[in-house]
Amino acid sequence: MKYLYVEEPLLNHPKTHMIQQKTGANVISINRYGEVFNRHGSHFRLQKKSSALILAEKKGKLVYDIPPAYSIGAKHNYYFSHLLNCPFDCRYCFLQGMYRSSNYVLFLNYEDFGVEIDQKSGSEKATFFSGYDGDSLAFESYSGFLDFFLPFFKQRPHIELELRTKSCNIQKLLNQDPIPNVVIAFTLSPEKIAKSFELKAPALKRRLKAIHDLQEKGWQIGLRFDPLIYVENYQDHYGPFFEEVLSLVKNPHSITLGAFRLPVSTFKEMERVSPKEPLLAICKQKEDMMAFAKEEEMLSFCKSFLPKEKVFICA
Amino acid sequence: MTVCIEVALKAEATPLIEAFKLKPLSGNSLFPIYENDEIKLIISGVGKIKAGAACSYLAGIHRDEDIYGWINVGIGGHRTLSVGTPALINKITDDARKTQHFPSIVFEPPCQTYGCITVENPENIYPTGNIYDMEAAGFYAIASKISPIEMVHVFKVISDNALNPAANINKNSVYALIDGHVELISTVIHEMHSMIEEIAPDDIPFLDECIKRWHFTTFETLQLKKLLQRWQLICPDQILFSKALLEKKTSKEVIAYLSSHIENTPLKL
Repeated sequence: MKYLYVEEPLLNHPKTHMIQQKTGANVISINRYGEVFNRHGSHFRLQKKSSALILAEKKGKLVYDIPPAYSIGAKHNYYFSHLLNCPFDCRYCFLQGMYRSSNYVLFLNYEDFGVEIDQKSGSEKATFFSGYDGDSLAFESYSGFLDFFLPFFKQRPHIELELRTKSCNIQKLLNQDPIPNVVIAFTLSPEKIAKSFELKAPALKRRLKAIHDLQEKGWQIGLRFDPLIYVENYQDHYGPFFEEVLSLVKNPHSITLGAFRLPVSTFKEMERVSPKEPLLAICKQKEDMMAFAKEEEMLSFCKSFLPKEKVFICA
Repeated sequence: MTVCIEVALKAEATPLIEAFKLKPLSGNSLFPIYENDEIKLIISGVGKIKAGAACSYLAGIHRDEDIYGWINVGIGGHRTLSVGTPALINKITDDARKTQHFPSIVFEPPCQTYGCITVENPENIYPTGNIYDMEAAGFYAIASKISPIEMVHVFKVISDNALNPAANINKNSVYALIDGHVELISTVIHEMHSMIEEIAPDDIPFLDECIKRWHFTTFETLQLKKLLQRWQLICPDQILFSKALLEKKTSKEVIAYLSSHIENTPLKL
């Protein structure tokens, strides 16, 4: 990481010094993160060649509602994003179409997130998802996200935290006792598909090893098979893959299954910045979404391998 | 797939014209312009307004060509940096308007990067640790509206500092300062050309053959272009003009056939 953009009030924040020392990045002061993130005219794919890190304070709304279709069992569902963007480079990732920038934005005002989470929490079960706009664990060595939010959720057993990740950055989790209301949810794909489409992410074997270690330690594991990718002979890839994963995780907290789909506007931006991406070339429009023609067929095939009572379909 | 160079002075342009073997553009133009197949160079004159105007002008008269990138090359002052120090700019402040721009450097910079303040009049005191110039903000504000910001850069060579005042600068010294860093400037332009290859769409195969065989409306032609590009990505090894396609009577049938074939073709691993 060559450049560290820092909002001026955060120039002397302890995390700024720590990250600057760890990365040796050139610190450039900014007024607001919008000056270097998502600017008109920036190009996600070009910026991905060397993304910069931006340290900022998140203002305004911090915790957002999630549509019921994305629930993993709770009545109330929310997401919050301490991090925008992800160091991995999955070819299917919607972030490429949602943002014009691949720079990472790390929001440092965790306390403010905590206040808003408390405001949203009622007496009924609620799940808070942290890995929507970026991988929950991949930046842990810079973010210290777990240091703040694990104790926070431990003190609030009536609400649940989902950490969604492809990262094997799990040492902090292994170094402490599991927290029952924290779910570590891994996004997984068959080995050859992961190798081809989930660039820069840990190989399937490494993710499975991380799952194994966390499970041994007693953490709750979520399995996220989303998105499913329509490849030649997909049955031969997904069938044995599900068997392998389910033989490792006998009692997952939850399983989500989702076909590859994108809002039309997101798809168009992805196509603009990646005009040579075959994955996008086979999509067709279904109402206001772009998806594979074989979406239903794939979902139905994959569902047949999974325990019904644990599966949530993301549509 | 052109990269455009904007300079303020003829003395800054000459070493680049020589190095890149640029030829003067024939005909009358508002600004002197030199070019080869991959590079265009425009001499704007001094100041940010002229720098911005030159960018607009160059883009305007070449709007049918693929201009992908821009670089402003010039001299600048700094309180302490030695005369001759090269610098790629990572932050530009327009001193008069107090606006800021942040060039997005996504390749390995071939030299140190610095902030730059664009001033209206020559700066002799150098009150901050930034480089001072007179064009970057005007150039960047316009060029970044034309090309992706990752393709817009500013390269400065230090011409004056607290011990070597700007009054000592002359045509020969400017020539020598830029000439001494032609290789670095070439490196930046080379990086930009590599990026162009990544983002430029491929040519559309078989378009003419299809248009000769069937009649497509303007809208259908756009659809056809997209489908032929997709065909090339998904099944380049398959024969496009198969018996099934050649049996199609109308443009609508052709589009429906291509769409269906592409959408039902699984990705190869």
